Amino acid sequence: MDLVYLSQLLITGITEGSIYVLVALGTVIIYKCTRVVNLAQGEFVVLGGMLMATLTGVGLPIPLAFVLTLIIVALAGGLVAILGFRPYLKRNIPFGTIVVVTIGIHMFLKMAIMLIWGKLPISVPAFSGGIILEFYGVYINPQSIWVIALTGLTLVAAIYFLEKTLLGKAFRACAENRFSARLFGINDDKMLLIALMLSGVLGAVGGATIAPISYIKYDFGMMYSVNGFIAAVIGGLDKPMGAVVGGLMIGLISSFGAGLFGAGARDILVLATLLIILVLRPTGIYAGKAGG
Amino acid sequence: MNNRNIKDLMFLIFIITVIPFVLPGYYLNIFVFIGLNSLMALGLLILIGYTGQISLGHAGFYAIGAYASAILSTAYNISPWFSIVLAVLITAVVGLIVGIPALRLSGYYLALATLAFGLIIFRVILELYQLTGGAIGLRNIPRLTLGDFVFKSDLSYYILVWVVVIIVFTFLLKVMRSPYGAMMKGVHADETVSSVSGINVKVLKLKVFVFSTALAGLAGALYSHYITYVGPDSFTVEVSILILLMVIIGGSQHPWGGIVGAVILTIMPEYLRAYRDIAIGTYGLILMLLILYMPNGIAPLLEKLFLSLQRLISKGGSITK
Repeated sequence: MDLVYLSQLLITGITEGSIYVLVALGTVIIYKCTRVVNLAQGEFVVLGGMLMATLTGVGLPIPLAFVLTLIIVALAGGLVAILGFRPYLKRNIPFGTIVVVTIGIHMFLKMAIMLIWGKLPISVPAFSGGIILEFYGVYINPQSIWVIALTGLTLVAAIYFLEKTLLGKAFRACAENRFSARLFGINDDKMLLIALMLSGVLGAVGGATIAPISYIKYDFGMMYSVNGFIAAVIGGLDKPMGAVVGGLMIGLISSFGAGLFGAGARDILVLATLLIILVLRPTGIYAGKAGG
Repeated sequence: MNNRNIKDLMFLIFIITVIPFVLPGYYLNIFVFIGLNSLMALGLLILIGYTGQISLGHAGFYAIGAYASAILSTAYNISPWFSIVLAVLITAVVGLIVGIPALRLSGYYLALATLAFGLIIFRVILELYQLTGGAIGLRNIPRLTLGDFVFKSDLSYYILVWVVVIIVFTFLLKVMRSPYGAMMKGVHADETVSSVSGINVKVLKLKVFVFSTALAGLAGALYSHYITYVGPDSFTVEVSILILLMVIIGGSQHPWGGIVGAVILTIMPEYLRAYRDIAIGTYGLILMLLILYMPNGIAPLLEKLFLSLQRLISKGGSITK
């Protein structure tokens, strides 16, 4: 149990946590706009990884494949918004029931992914070769650096979009109060579309960058959805910064739990954390304005 | 018991009695599973229809019932009848532990907490292999016996399981069509109004949830002594979702919803076995379309159809215009 081993776990934890940060942030954005927890969120991650594999497989350079992947998954997110969310929100179906609808979306997307890419795990080439770096005995997969850096960059871009652009401001107004936003002429359909497309991009960044480290398989979606949602709940479900804190926390708990107590302990520790947070601080650990 | 309940009950008993005479033997085995699924679906039905809460982790409670009874009766040599009772109690206690924090919050936290719970239980089964046999599972679980009689044949188990279903169904009918049922519907419709009128909403929700998990545990325990084998594959998240689908397809506001859904979604996969993966995606689509276009499910339609048929038959004898 030395410092080198602990540093190793720390890096693994932050890498894994980055993906949960992205999924959790997507969950929070959709939740803020619709009050629905989207359990098909993990399918965006899987779709991102799969498209990356196919596009690099046909010989596209990695940056081009990456950008194309994000665009395609954003469009998929838009389709989910129009076909999967909009009809239910329009009919005022209870939010709890719409969560069940998102399970339907999850099942359907999982089948579609299986039919296109098959059931075998698929690997994706690393962005900058497979040579493992070493610092003072700590091994670092360069792909981990890509994951962390691109996650950071995506977060900055998402925050810039929400805080600085007119569309982002309209989105935040809608998330804060749909009815008064509507009075100011903000179109909720458009906001729903933005929420799902943005979540799609966030998930796709996660899938495309993590796939070279841990291969990607058609049935990984639910795992990402659940971990991302747990991260979002721990952070407070309606607080974007909470999603970041919660995501990193779940990543670190997973990595240290598995590293120190064995692979079986990790999920149990994650759930235990969720239950403790639900009991002690139902509004999440991220100290901010409490919200519904 | 009012007239309507007795009619419903007689109808169920009639169908259950007729099935072994009219359907080929292979169906008895399927109908044992329909019975077990009905138990779970009835538990979920009362939870969804009458408190508005959703569980996405019922396979987890099903697993606890199955494994608890299997382990107690094999490793500890406890009589299967007694181990079933203990398994139900254990499941209910776990349900209480999960339900207390999750039900403190309004909204659909219970759905998400139970989803996480179901996934975790699946991992725990794989990890605690000294106790559960891990991926291999547990074999040679003793069968139920009554004196010299062993519940081994499909017919004997069919009778046993459906007697249990009928008892639960009777209870459900009584509760759903009683002032207590009305009170529960009130919880579904408006929590604030219910709590103002002196109903302890939180306690009521918790009671219903624990009852519902206990039923899943009972189904699991009965399952393990029928198949005499338990393995983790029977308790995946897909199973939880399938049970939920049964309730939504059957109709979550109708006492028959659970059984109707269980019949449809237990028989259908038997025929779609070769297309299992496609079937799951198709269920997803059916689920989405049903919630949109037929939110009350199939049971109310069947009831209407049945009543008009009855009217037609009773009119048939006399000359009417």
